[in-house]
Amino acid sequence: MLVRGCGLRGIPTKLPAIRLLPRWYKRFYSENNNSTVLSDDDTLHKNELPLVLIKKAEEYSKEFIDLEKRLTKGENFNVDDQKRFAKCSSVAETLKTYEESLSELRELEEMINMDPSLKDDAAKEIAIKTPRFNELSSSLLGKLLPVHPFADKPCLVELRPGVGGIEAMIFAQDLASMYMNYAHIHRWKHHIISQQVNESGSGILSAVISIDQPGAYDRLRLEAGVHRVQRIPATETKGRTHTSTAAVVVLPQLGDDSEKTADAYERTFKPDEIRIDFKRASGKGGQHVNTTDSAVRLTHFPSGIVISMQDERSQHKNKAKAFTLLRARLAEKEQQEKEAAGIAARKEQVNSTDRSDKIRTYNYPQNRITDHRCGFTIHDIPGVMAGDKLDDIIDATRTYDTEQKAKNLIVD
Amino acid sequence: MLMAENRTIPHARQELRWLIQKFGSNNSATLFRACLERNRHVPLQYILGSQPFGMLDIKCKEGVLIPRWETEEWCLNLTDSIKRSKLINSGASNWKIMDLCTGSGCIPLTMINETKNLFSNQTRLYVDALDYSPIAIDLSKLNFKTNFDNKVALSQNFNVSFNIQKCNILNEPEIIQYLGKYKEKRKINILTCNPPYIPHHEFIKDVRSSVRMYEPKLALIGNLEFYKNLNDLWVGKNLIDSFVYEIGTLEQALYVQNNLPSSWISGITLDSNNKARCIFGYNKEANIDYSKIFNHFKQTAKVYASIANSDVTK
Ligand SMILES: C[S@@+](CC[C@H](N)C(=O)[O-])C[C@H]1O[C@@H](n2cnc3c(N)ncnc32)[C@H](O)[C@@H]1O
Repeated sequence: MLVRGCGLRGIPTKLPAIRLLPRWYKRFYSENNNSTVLSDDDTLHKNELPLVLIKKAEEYSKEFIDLEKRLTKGENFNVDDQKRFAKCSSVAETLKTYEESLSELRELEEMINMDPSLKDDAAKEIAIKTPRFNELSSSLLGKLLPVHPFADKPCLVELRPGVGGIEAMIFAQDLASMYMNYAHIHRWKHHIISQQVNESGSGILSAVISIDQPGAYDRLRLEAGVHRVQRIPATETKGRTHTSTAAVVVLPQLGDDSEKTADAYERTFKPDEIRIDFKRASGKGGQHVNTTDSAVRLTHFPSGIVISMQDERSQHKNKAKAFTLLRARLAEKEQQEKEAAGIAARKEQVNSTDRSDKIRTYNYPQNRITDHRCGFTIHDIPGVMAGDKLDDIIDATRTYDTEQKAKNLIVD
Repeated sequence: MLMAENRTIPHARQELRWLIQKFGSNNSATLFRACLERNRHVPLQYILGSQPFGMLDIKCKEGVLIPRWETEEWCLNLTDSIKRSKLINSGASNWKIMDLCTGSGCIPLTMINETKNLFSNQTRLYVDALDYSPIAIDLSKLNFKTNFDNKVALSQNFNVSFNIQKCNILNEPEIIQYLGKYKEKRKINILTCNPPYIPHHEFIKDVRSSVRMYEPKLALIGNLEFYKNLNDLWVGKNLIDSFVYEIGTLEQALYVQNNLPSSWISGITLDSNNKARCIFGYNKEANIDYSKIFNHFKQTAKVYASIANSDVTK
């Protein structure tokens, strides 16, 4: 259950359980319903789901019964039917236990109101049963929310400086180390796929980090966006605070970056979709020269994506890395297009996740980081940059994201 | 300091990064010596001690030619073509591959590494590597050891055996004697060779100083000797079913083509720098249908060549 709780979407991941009960429950819940027993103790708070969501779950239950009927009639199910059946049956089952548990709690509350002499016993019972109920509630919600198709994937984190010159390059580098520290603290395998350092000063021109942990994509995908820093550069003599930015792109990693995987992936393209350019010196080549020209440039015509890779001495490895990156970019692009289509269908505005918007500010003079999407603020820049405290921000943004998704679900 | 061997600043930077990766930045004396060597045109691969080749890391030492990307390209193309041909799983007979002028051993070791999974209980792969230079023999042995632990592990896990022999390839009797030692006198399925192919008159004019000054002339200078040897001995005495030879000039390939018997099919392939790079040939009357390998080999090389008209090449 612990695993469930942290997955939130019902995907058993290997991620450590971050928080059994998402904090947003209370917030979300109190907006829609004011009849809970209020308690100081978080664990005694009963996280009932809003009616709309319950209605949605009931629809699944109905469908489950229908499907079951068809099945008993001896109908043959195809793969899609089977999947649908599994989904409906799982929602129906959770809904049933959820409702049973809820009515138990309601009875206990009733008892307190009707017979004050039973109050202590009933309260004890409530204290025992509420956490279990909340688990069910969380699990049910997880089943109702759409699962991100790449939720269980490892990820690539790409960093690029934005506005602000060298300061932006330094900030991009700081963010790169922040994500590596973060992976390190969680004991997730990670490595730098490519990095171009600013040779004429400090900072980086770009970096791609691979975080190989399954589920890392789901955990980090909300980190994508423009991050802004406000601080006094070391070189600044007048003590003025500069503002600069760096862009973070988080991509699902669909295969490892080994040469074998990349070779297999390469074969999925038609020859005219892809062009591979090798950096080659002119001249006779062969035994005449012994240079180490291993740079590879990949052009994917249908999407216009161009990827250059030169970090490795092995051309084979450079090519493999370029394909890994291409694959991740294409997957993300496709997902974005799907999401955009979904949003258009709902005739809804893209909420604050507009790509050009700054998602977060790191204010060094105030030792403060604020995430602008959810309004979460933390006063511990060193802790966050060291990777320890980043989870606090990520939790908050995820909470916000789930909230938004649940709202969309209600609108539907 | 690194600019002597690197024409652009990004190239020099990249190289410095690799040197630092190898020697560390705190051991400045070693790093400095390495840069100094580079300034004197010592090949980077000799300083770093290795060159990636396909999936393998090939150790490099002075006195032995550094593997080239062109060789890597056709060699991987060949192993890929072998894998796709499905010829090995289908026939239950053993396979024999021989690499002449093996140098560091990069070609036969890649052949083993890429195809070893195809050889099971019934079919065994015999790979032979020959070279005349004792330093090359030692280095190819070392490369075998570092990439495959040792012979025992390879023959236990895969049905593959590897043999390295010092031999003068241009000395026919010596070769015949060597082949005669084999209990099982079967034909060689594929003969590979990257012979010294730089004609004398090109050596001063067209060869980069780093190559000229530090790589062995025995590995570089040659013209038609080895191609003539291919026609007269290997094809002529019916010792092989097929071959792939790297070439430096088109004349070398045409020489081979013009002297092949009529039962042989041959072709010339380009590398991804659009230079004629290989001559291949197979006996269409052989027991095995080698077109299954070489049709793919030819096509892939064509794709390489067509993607090569690149504007990255400055
Ligand atoms: C161009 S190098 C090829 C090395 C390696 N196969 C590669 O592709 O990197 C040629 C090799 O042929 C060897 N060689 C030259 N003359 C030879 C001969 N007569 N018999 C055997 N090997 C010879 C040299 O020692 C050298 O290692």
